[in-house]
Amino acid sequence: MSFALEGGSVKCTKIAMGSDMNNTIMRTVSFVERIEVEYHGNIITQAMVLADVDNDMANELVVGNIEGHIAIFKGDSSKAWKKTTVSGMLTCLAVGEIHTPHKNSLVCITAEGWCYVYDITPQSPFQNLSGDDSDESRMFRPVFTQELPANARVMCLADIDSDGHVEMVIGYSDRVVRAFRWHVPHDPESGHFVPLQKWQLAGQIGSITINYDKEHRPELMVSQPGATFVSLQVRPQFRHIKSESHLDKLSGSRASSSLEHSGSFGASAAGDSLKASGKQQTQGAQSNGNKSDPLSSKTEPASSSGLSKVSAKSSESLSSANTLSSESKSRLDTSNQESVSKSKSESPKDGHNDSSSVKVSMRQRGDKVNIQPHISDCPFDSGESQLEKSQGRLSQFLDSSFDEDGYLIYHPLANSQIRNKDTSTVIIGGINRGRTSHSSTDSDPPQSQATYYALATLDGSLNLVENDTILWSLHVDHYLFTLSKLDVTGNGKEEVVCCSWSGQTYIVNHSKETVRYDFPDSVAAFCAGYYSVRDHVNVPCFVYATFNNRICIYPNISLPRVESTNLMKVMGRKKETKELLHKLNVNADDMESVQKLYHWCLYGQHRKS
Amino acid sequence: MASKPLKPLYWTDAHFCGLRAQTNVYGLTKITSKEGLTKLLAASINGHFVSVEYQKSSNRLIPITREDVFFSSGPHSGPAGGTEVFEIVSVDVICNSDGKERIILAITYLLLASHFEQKSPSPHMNIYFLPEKEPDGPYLNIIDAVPLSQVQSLNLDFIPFKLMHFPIYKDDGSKEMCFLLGGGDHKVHVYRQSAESESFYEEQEAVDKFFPEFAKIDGGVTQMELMQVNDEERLTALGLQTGLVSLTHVNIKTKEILKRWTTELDSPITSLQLFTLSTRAPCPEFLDKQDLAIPDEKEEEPEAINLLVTSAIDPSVVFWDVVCCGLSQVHHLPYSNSQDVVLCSCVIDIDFDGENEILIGTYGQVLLAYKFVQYQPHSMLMTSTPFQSPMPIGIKHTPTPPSDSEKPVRGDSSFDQCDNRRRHKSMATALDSSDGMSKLDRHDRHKSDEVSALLDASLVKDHQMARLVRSQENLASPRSVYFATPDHLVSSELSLPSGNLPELTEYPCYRLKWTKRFSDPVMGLTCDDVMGDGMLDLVVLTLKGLHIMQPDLNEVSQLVLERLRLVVDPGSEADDDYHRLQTETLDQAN
Repeated sequence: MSFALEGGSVKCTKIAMGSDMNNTIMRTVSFVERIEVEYHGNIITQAMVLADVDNDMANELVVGNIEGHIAIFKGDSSKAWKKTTVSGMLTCLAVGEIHTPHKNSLVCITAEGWCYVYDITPQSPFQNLSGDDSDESRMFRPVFTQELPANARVMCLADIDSDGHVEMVIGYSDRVVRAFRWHVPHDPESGHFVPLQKWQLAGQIGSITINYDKEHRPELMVSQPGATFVSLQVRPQFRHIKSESHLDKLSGSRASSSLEHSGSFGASAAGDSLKASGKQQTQGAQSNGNKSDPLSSKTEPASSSGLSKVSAKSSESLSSANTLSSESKSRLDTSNQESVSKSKSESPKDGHNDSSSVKVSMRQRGDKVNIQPHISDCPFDSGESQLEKSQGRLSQFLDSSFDEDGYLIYHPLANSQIRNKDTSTVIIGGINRGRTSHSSTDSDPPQSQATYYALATLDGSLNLVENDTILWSLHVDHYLFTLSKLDVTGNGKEEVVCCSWSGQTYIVNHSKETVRYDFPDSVAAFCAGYYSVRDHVNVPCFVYATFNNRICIYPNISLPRVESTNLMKVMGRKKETKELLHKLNVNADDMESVQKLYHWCLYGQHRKS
Repeated sequence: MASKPLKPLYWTDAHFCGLRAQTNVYGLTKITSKEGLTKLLAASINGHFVSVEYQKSSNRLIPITREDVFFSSGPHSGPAGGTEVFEIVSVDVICNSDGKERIILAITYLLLASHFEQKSPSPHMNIYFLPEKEPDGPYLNIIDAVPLSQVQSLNLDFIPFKLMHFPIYKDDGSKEMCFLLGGGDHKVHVYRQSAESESFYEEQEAVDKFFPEFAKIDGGVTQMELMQVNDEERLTALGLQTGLVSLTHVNIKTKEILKRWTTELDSPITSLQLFTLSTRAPCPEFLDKQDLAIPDEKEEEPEAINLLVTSAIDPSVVFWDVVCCGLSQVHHLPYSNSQDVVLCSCVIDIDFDGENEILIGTYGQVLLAYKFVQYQPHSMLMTSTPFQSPMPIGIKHTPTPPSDSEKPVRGDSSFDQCDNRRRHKSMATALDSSDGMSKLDRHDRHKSDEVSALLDASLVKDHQMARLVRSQENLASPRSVYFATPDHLVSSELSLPSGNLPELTEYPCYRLKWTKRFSDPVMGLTCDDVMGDGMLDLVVLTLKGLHIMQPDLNEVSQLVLERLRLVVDPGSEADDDYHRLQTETLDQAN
């Protein structure tokens, strides 16, 4: 018998150290209430959004699939409230105040590069939600269409430069991130997206997010393979250009120079591709202007083809257009695409940088006269790679002058060495920390806290990070492919919600307490957010898209708390408990007595009042 | 007794663990260790076991969930050593607390016909003697301990049903724990432990010697419930497959039957509970000694014992004060047969007012909680909201009669109907309007006109209440449970066929107080202090998993504080609110 016991203890330790450790001791809950809707086709996680798309203060679920079908689900109806179809493979969906202030619009991007903007009108009170009105009334049409660079993969709508306007940041599968802004030159009808800035990254883009620092300044973050990320520095110029009219003036009067510049994009991109040069040479090319660049002619055919394409498009979608500016813009696009393709062919060189901190600076033409919306060209110059502490460099950057702009800051997180460097990573930023915790000093006003951000990798690690410091790290045995934040407990602190392909959903709070929910199916796409089932009340919910044409909305996922707790712990946190126990001569550490006391309190005979 | 009218409390999952295969109604048991810790053990029919216990570690409370298949590893690859196909029927655990701690796990199972010639399933019972915990040995989880235990295997010649244990009092006054196993052969089998070899043996004479009430039974015993009334008397309730319920009042000392009552229902008995209305908890000794404002414990006058009987398709009934009245005083549980077959029940005080509520689990994935209501209430709250709206709206004042002011709301039929279609059809809403009722009528076989008139009248009374509740109610939407059920099916599925309606106007009676939905049929219910905090946790076994549920602890802690304050300082009640405000400000200041 004793021998057998030993065997048992060995087994115990083995299991404790084994891989199912987490599941053995992790709190699990089950959610019951759910709304199932039918939706066919493959959904990409980026194409499933919970947002108030029709500006009725109640959130809807917007879903797009790779066949280009878009559906909006509202309330507890199992049928789509509105739907439409675009041509092409829908990869990104986002909802935001992209072209009208204080009014949400739906922005859809296809892999082919077409960008559709929809303004959804709220449901009329006469319209029946689940009723039998015709399919026609359920359709909706884009108010604006524009062709942007192809291969969009992820999208983020946010005010990246604190100018009060929402920008559209798109990450491409060719490892480029571009920022666009809605721009209305003269005529309100002719608004369109103009490129702001472009960043070339080393690794595949997992997701784009916005995080806020202490002063609530936004920081644009892009996840990179191996649980690392890059923060993209927005050009300071654009922080300073607040006035639309100024922009207008520039883009209008300088149309010809913008044409020239479009040439110069290609040129400097080509110069980049030559890559013989350091900083000096690039600067020289810029100061000399485009004409001196021997390669500018090379880009001409591409530009003109872009011109014809756009004029055809503008006649189709824009009734009256500032053709010149859209032409010039389209040239920018085309030449930019060319530069992308070129830099793409070049890019493998920087794929693996073993330096602990690599900062890549992107030179921008410093010609201040020609500041205008255009795609900034970003020669990817490895010669300029600096082995510097990214943070130190950051402060330097902030202090530096105007023409030192357009940076990427690479953040290798402390424990990234131990991990597979190629595993795909997603990031979510702006995780609200809630009220100032008691640990921080009282002098800090609560709003001056930087938000947390979290990274999850496909190999199952989840990190919560604050300012490059990993607060905690959790490893699970499932492929984590999507990451969200949601205040599940309603305490003002946003929990990290992470979902795996197999349906395991982890809800982790800031002190690494975890609760798990097992969705009983494989998950194609997941999102967590707020959804209104009825009465215009938004409730926290999880949305799972499965592989068998169903989307499940769990509208009742609120938990009182994340951690496992009992009455004793809850009571122990109250100050009064100790006083009362003391008065009753009960030792607060004597669990057994306290347990008996509470039991009697709850179930014993009590004085009637 | 309650010091104040209490808000209903909402119970949510504290923990959940899934089972890999389905379980059955006898699949849940609990193990209470010597230290007072309770562990839960659930078995699925294919031999997959899950155990849950809570451990305190560095100021955290950690639920330890372990799962294993006992029969597929080690020397016993099948329960009988082979690779047979088997199905577990029932599980029970004896925890001997006298002297050494010894846990004995008994499992009954059917070996299904794996061989050609063997047509009928052969029933067996395995008894595992778990190794004793050595004083300084490592802590052994039950899942780890079972493969190391001695096994005794018994062949049964009957189909086993409910397995339980109960002490027998020997003539010398000593107690001996034995297994009772209800059989399909119209018998209850008693298994006693032999003093020498520790193994169990079936003793036919034990029935005559100790359990005279088991002598003549006319059906397969699906449920049994025994309760010691006092030192000399015992109540035994037996529920049979045929729907027969027999209740026997036995004198333990003389082994004679004092009285016997029987009643018959139309469907198999699924659960029996003998309980008292009020909860009893002894005052801890350390408080007794002090000069505190503790209410005098009333002379322990024996309280009336009630019997709850649930059967598969009939409405559940409570027989009131069975010792005095036998099975004559009946209270029905309204709507208890509206959610498919009733499978299990439990008696627990879910709102901490000192009175036990009745919980019923149904195959329709719903848990129904009933409260005994003495008088016509000012307002009756019914909601399925677990957490979303912890503050239900109650009408504090007199019930609003169906006044004219209400009529325009109901008259607005187009709106109402559209609303009907969209709204969530849970218990509260189904009661909500007569529109809903007319829908129900179609599916109701038994319903007579008078009953419907009666119900309608009561519904009108409750109309405003239900309306208010509905706005608070969470999303127990039909689709949320029934996958892709068309709307017209949903309405019938969730409707409340009012089989044998109680007279709602007569008080006292049981009223539906709270409902909770689960993702699977509710197979088992029990309550115990699993977390070790003095509060009973609700344990719900569904077909696919085990839930441990907790009420909102913030509210419970408020309640406990309030009661402690009363004990410490009886005069404090006047400035109670002031005090609370003070503590709240203190809390906020932190």
